[in-house]
Amino acid sequence: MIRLPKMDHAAPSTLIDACSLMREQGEKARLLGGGTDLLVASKLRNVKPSLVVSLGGIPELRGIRFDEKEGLRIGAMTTLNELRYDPNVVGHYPALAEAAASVGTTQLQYMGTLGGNLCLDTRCMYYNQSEPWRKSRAVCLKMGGDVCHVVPKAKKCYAVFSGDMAPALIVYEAQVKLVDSAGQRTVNLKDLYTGDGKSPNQIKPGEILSDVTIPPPVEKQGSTYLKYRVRGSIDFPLAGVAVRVTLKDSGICQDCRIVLNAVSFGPVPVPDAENVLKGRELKEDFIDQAAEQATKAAHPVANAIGATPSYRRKMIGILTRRALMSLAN
Amino acid sequence: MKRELELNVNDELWEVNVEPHKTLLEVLREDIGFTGAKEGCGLGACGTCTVLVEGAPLLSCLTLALEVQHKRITTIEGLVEGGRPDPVQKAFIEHGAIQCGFCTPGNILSAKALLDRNPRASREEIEEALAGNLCRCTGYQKIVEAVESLVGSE
Amino acid sequence: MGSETYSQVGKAQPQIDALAKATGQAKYTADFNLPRMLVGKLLGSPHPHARVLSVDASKAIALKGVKAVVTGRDVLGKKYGMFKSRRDETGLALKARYVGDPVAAVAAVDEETALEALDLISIEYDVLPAVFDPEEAMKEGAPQLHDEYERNVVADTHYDFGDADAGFKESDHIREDHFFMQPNSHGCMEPRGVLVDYDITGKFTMWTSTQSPFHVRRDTSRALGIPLSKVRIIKPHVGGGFGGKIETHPMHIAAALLAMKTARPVQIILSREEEISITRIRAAMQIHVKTGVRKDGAIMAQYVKIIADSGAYSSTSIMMMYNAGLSCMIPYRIPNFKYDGYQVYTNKAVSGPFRGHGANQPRFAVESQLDMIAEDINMDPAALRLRNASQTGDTTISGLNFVSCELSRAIEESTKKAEWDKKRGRKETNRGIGMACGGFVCGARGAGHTASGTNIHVNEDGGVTVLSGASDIGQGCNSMMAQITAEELGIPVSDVTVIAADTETTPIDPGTFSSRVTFYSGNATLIAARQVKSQLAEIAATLMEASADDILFRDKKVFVKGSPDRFIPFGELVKRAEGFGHGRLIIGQGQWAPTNTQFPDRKTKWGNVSGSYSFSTQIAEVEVDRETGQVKVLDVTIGDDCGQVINPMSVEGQAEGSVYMGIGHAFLEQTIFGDNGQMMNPSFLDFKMATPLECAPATMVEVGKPDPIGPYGAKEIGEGLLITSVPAIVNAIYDAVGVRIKELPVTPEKILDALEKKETEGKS
Ligand SMILES: Cc1cc2nc3c(=O)[nH]c(=O)nc-3n(C[C@H](O)[C@H](O)[C@H](O)COP(=O)(O)OP(=O)(O)OC[C@H]3O[C@@H](n4cnc5c(N)ncnc54)[C@H](O)[C@@H]3O)c2cc1C
Ligand code: SF4
Ligand code: FES
Ligand code: FES
Repeated sequence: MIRLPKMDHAAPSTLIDACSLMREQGEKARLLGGGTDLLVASKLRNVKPSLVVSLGGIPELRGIRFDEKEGLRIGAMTTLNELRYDPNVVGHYPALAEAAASVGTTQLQYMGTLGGNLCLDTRCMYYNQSEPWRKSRAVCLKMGGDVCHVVPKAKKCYAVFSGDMAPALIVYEAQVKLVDSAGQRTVNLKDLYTGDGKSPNQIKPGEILSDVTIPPPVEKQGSTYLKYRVRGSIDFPLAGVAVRVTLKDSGICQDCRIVLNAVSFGPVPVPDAENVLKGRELKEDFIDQAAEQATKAAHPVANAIGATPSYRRKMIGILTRRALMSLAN
Repeated sequence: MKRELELNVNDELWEVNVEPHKTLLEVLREDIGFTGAKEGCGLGACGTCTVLVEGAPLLSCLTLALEVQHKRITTIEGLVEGGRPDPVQKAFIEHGAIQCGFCTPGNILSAKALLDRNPRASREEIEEALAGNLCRCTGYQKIVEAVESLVGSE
Repeated sequence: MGSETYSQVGKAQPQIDALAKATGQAKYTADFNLPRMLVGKLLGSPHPHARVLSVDASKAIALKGVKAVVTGRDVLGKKYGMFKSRRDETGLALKARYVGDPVAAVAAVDEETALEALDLISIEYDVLPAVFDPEEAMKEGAPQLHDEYERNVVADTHYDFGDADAGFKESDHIREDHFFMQPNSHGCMEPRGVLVDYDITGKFTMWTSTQSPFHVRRDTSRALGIPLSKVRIIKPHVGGGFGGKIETHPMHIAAALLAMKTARPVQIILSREEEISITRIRAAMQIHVKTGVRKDGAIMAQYVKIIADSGAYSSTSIMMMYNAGLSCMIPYRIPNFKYDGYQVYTNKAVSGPFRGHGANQPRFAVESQLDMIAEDINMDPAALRLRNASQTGDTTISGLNFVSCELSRAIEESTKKAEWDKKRGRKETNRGIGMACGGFVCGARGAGHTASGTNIHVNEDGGVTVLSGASDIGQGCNSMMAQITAEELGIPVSDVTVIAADTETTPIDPGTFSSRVTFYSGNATLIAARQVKSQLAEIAATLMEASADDILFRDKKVFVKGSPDRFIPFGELVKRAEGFGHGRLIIGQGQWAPTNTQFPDRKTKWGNVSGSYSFSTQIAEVEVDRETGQVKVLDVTIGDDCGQVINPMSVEGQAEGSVYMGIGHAFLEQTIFGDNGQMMNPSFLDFKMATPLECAPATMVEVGKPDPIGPYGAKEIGEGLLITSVPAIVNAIYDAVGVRIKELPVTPEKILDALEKKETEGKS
C-alpha cells in the first residue's frame, strides 16, 4: 500500500487551541481538513509534515448560515457535499453549488472541505508524482530546486491552481477570515492568491482559514460555473469559468464578474471582459467580445495531462461564452 | 508513538494500537482484517477503498484512522446481516454486475450510500454517484442496471 | 439455436463466485499473509539506459528491520520470457533499459521499512545514450538495447501471399494511408502482486495475480535455476488481466530470491504507479495501409506495414507482429496480401500482449481506410464490407480455415437494428454512425504445447469438483466450466466447485490468453464431464436394468429414458458407485486441443493457427460538438458471431466491457512519455479510464450459429469485439462531421483542428 510518512496527529476542539498548536509547531505542522489533498501530497512526499492538526473536531468551523441581510457564512470545514445540496446555496449562489458538484468524485465531495479547497496546492505533472518518480529529474523550483521542467528559463514556478470553489466564490465577492493566535484578518478571496505557483496563497504558517462570507444576493443576479475536464468525474479542471451578472430592469448589464480557473497560479479575474458587458445588453456579439477578452487573459502552460495549453485557452473562450449565453436566456 | 484507538466497524468495537499516520484502509486491512476494501490506487482516484462512515462513502485510503474514532464505519463485510447479503449485493450478483470483483466492494458501497439518501435516484444520478468507482471489466452497464433495479423498491 | 434442449447452456448465470466477490470474501493476492511474512519492494532505475556499476546496500542492510537486499548480481542472469527465441529478461537488470526498470529489491519486516531501505541503497550507474522513437532506434548507430538484435529490431515478420503487385494492377482504385495507435495501459483494477513461501525442502509456493501460473512457474524456475517441480504457483482471485498479467514479472523473481535468502515468506504488491509503468503496456504502432479495390468494391490486394514500439524488452513481440498481420486476413477475402511488421526496442516501458493482441492497431487502420475507400468509389461502407466478407468454409490465402463464419449476417442484422440506412449521412445533426468488422482467433496455436485439461471428480453427496488449469481473471471461466459440467451431469451449477489454476493440483494449462479458454478448457471440461457421465451411466444401467445408452441426467436425477419415475438421485448413484463391484471412483479426465490447426510455416507463415474464428460487426453512433470538438458515443450495436452462447450474462459482460474499453481507447487512454522516456501519467488520475459518464449502452443482435468445434458450438468473445470498437467510433465521427482522425487518441483538439483545416480547404 502507499504509505504516509510518519507524522503525529492532534485534534484540538477549539479554534484557539488549534491556533496555538500551529504557532508552537511552526512550518512542520499542517492543517488537516478533509485530507484529500494533503494526504495525497504526503504520500507522494511533496510535503512531509511532522504533525497534522485536524480541524474536524472544531464546531466553530462547521456549518452554513444564511441571512437575507447578512449574506452567507460558510465554515471552513463545511464539506463540498454539504454545499452542493444546501438549499440556500443552490437557491442564491448556484455557481457555488455547481462548482462543488464538479469537484473530483462523490467520495471526494463528501470528504473535501471548503477550506481545503481554497488552500489547495497548485498542480503540475512534474510535481504531483511520487518521490521515486521525481528522482529521474532535477529537483524543480516547487520542491526547492532551481529549474522548471515546464517553462525552461522560468524564475518562478508555473504550477497551476485547480481548486474549483475559489473562482465561484470570487464572483460573489467572497471574503475569507484568517485567524491565528495573535488575532484575525479578513481578506478578499480574490487577493488571497499570490501569483506564485510555489506558494500559491498568502496564508501564513500558523494561520487558519476559519470561514468564508459572501454578501447577500443581489436582485436580478445570475451566476454559473462551468468547468472543462477530460472525464465527467475524477479529473481536476483544465479550464473553468465562473460568471455572475446582475441586470437592470431594462435588461442592461449592471454589473458583472468573470473569473477564470485552472489557467494560472490562482483564479484569474478578467476586468477587460467584465467591462465589455457592463452597461450593455447581454447580446451575442458583446458576449463574444467578452469571451475573446477572457481567452486573452488565459495563459496556461504545458503542465497538465489531458489537453494542450492552446486547447485549454480555447475552452476558456467557449466556456465564457456558454456561461454568459446561459445567463442571457 | 502508537496510539490506542477504538473503531466501530460493522457494529463491533475494535481496539487497535496504531501509529497516527495510519490510514483507515491500512487499519482495516492490516490490523483488523477486513480485506474487502482494496487499494486500487492509494491516491483517491479509483474508489476501490470506499467504505461508509456514518453512511457516507469515504475513501479509506485518504482517511486517517484517528479521524474516524467514535464513528460508525461500514465495510463491504458489514453489509451481510445474519448471513444474508444486502439487497444491493444481491442486485449486483443477479444483474451480472460483477466480473473480476476487485471494484465490487467499492461500487456496492457507493450504491448503498446513494440509495440510502436518494431511494428514487435517476439513471443519471446513479451514473454520477458511481463515477468515482472505476471498473475495468464491466463497462458499467450492468452495475448501473443493478442499482436501477433497486430504485423505488425500498 | 437449439438452447431449448439444454438445461444450463444458453441460460444467464451469475458467476459462481459472485457472492464471494460481492461480500468482500474473495481473496486476491494482497489479501493473503503468512506468519513471519516480509514485505518486498523493487527499486527502479532513474535512468532510461544505464549500466549498474556497483551497488552499495550496506546502509540499507544496517537499517533495523531490513532482512535482505538483492540485485542483478544475485540472479543467475539466465534469460526468461514467453518465447524461447526472444528471451531477454533476467528479473533484476544489470543494465537498466528504461526508467523504472527494476535493478534491486529489498525485504523488510514491513512496507515502511522496506521503502526506507530503498532510499538507502546507493547505486553507481554508467549512464548510456538512450533512444525513444522506434524509427530512430532502427537507424544505423542508434543506441543498442540488447546486443542480439541489430538495430533494435526484435521482431521482423513478413507475409507475402498471392501477388500483391499484380493485385494492385488489377485494382480500379488504390489508397495508401498512414495511421497511429497510441500506447496504452491495461489498467487492471488490481495491481499485481506475489506472495512467496519458501520451505526447508527447497520448495517455493507462490500466490500470484497472473493469467498464466504455468508460465510463471517455468520462468521462475529458469531464472533462479531451480527445478520446475520445486515451484508451485497458485492463482487466487485476480482483479483483471486484459493480457497484461500473462507474463512473469521481475517481482516474481525478486520475491522468490528474497524468500530464499531470508527463509521467510515475502510479499510484493505493486503500487498503481508500478502497475502502470513497469509491467506491460500495449504497443504503439505506426501503420501504413495500401489497399486496392475493383469498382464493385472487391478487395484485390492489400499491403500493410507496421512499425511497433516494443519498449525495453521483447515480451511477446514475435507473436504480436505475427498476429497483427494474421488479423488482417480474417474478416475479409483478400486474394493478395503482403505485410511487413517490425517491432523495435526503445528505452521505454515494455509493450506486451493486450486484449486483442496485435489486432487492435491494424484493425483501426484498415477499417478506417475501408470507409475512405467506400467514399472514394461511392459505395455504402456496409455494402463494401458485405461484398468482401469472409464466409463459412473459406480458407484464406494464408491458410486460415473458417469452419463457421456469420460475418455477413452480423453486418446485415446489426445494420438493420442500428437503422444504418436511416441514420447515415446526416451531417446537419452533427450525429454520425460508423461501423467496423473484425475477426479473432479462438486460441492461436503457433508452436509448442497448448492443450488444456480438466479433471472432474464426484463426491458422495453428489457435489462435483472440477479441477482446471485455466485462469479465471474475472472473465468467468470457472463459471463456464461449472455450467458445462452441470449441463452434462444434470445438476445445478451450485453443486459444482471449481478449483482452478494451481500448478501442483490442476492439469497443466498454457493460461488465459488468445481467447482460448472457453474453446479449449470448455472442450476439455466437456470431455471430462462426459466421461463421468458414462461411468455413472454404466452403473445406473446395471442398477436400473436398462441400457447405458438410455440413461439420462437431469434435475439431479438419473433416469431411464422414457420412464420419468425410474430414477436414482444423482448423489445416491455416486454413493452406490463407490461400493459397486470392487469399488469405483468416478473420475473424469479431459484434455483437448483442436486437431484442425496447422503450425504456420516458419518462413512463409502459411498455416491455420486456430480451430475456429469469431467474427463481429460493431456500429457506433456518436454526436460531435463542433464548437468544442468533444464527442459523445450515444449507442453501440453489436453483431457478434461467437457461436453458441453458453452464458448470455458473461457474453454481454464481455461486449459491454469491450465497448467501454473501446471508448477509452478512442478518446481517453494513453500512456505518455517524457523527454527521458519516463512515463508521465502512471496514475488513475492521469491515465484516464472512462467512468460511467463516458460510457454508452451496447445492444447485441443474435447472429451466431453453433460452431462445429467449440464446446456446444461456442467461440470467443473476450477480445474480438474490442478490436472493432475504436474504428467504428472513428468512422462514426467522420459520418457526423466529415473529419477523419488517423492518429489516436481522438482528442477534441484534433477534431477542431481537422474541422478548421477542412473549412480553409473548402474555401480555397
Ligand atoms: C482524484 C482527485 C481528484 C480531485 N479533483 C478535484 C477537482 O476536480 N477540483 C478540485 O477543486 N479539487 C479536486 N481535488 C482536490 C481536493 O479533493 C479538493 O480540492 C478538496 O476540496 C480539498 O479539501 P480537503 O479538505 O480535503 O483539503 P486538505 O487536504 O485537508 O487540505 C488542503 C490544503 O489546505 C490546507 N488547509 C485545509 N484546511 C485549511 C484551513 N481551514 N485553513 C488553512 N489551511 C487549510 C491544508 O493544510 C492543505 O495544505 C481532487 C483530489 C483528488 C485526490
Ligand atoms: S511549473 Fe516548473 S517549477 Fe513548478 S512544479 Fe512544474 S516543473 Fe516544478
Ligand atoms: S485506493 Fe482509495 S481511491 Fe483508489
Ligand atoms: S469487475 Fe473487474 S474492475 Fe469491476
